[in-house]
Amino acid sequence: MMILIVNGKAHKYSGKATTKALLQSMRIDCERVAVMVNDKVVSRKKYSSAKLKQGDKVEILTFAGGG
Amino acid sequence: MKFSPLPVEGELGAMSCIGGELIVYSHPQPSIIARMKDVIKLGKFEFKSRLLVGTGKFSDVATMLSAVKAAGTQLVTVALRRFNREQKSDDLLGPLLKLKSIKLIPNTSGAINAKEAVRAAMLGRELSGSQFVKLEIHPNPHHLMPDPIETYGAAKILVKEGFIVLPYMPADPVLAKRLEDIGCAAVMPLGSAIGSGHGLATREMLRLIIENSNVPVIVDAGLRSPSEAAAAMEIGCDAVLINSALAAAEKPAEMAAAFALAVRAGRKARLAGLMEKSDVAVASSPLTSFLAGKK
Repeated sequence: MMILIVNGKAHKYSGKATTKALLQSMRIDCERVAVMVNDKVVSRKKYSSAKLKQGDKVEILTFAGGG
Repeated sequence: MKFSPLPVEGELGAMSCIGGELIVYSHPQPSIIARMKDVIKLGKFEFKSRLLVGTGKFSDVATMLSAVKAAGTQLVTVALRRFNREQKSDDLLGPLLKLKSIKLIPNTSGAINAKEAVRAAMLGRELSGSQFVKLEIHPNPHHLMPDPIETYGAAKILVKEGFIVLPYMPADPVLAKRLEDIGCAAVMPLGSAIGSGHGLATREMLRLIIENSNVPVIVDAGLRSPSEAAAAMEIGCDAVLINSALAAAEKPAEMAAAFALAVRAGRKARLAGLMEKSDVAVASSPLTSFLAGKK
């Protein structure tokens, strides 16, 4: 198990250490979000390959209204 | 005969308006023909609609969508926010992607410096698949004035990264030229402060920007009424971006339709060439040979 900081909050996570698995565990549609790990954008192509590790800062973003 | 706003040399052929379309039917100049296919070009894309719509501050998604449709817009801005499981309504990507005729322009709002803006742009591109970015960096929440230095720095990077960069900027002709020079696809000077509804406070600066610009000039921010949008188009802006004026109207979709008409009217007026101003009255009826005995 590891602790990630997801959108600013501590998040206990024990699944496979990839972005894709994390999103799936949170029931988030990969197509509907963009992800940043430790301030670096993770491209969708790398969701399955880029590894997550203890303490990683994960930001999950989506589109909201804006001018 | 002089049509000062148009870069036309020599005589202009007769024009008339048939079915709402401008028809030129004798000796049209090539530049007029070019303008008859009246589109705004951003990057390699061409758009017929000159009304861009922002999606912020609407009471709900359905109202926003109705305004977007009524505006007949082809370009819609969106912002990035942290995903929130409790607020599914935050996710605009699904409903907006269903509107096939529009392109999304992710903005970088929330960024207070170039580094953050570049990151937001990358995220927006990842999410939307769109090369467009509305670059906005406004560090002070009190006036939300764009930071020209950070905006310039971020624009340089984003152009190199292949973005179609639309920078929100102060109405400054020097900065507009600099942003054009580094490859921005348009410039987006403000009419007045974001959401203020103070209209075209920067009108004279906008005129200077328009005179010197080789890229489209899109007035972004501050417009409240359709007449202001028409005025912006009449002075030669290529498009306007409207958000608060729709979202905060009593009937957003109706207001969007009104803005769409105003933008088209203003554009047509611009192409038709406004009359010259005169300091004295110029009679529109004959003043001579009126009554016997008078000359």
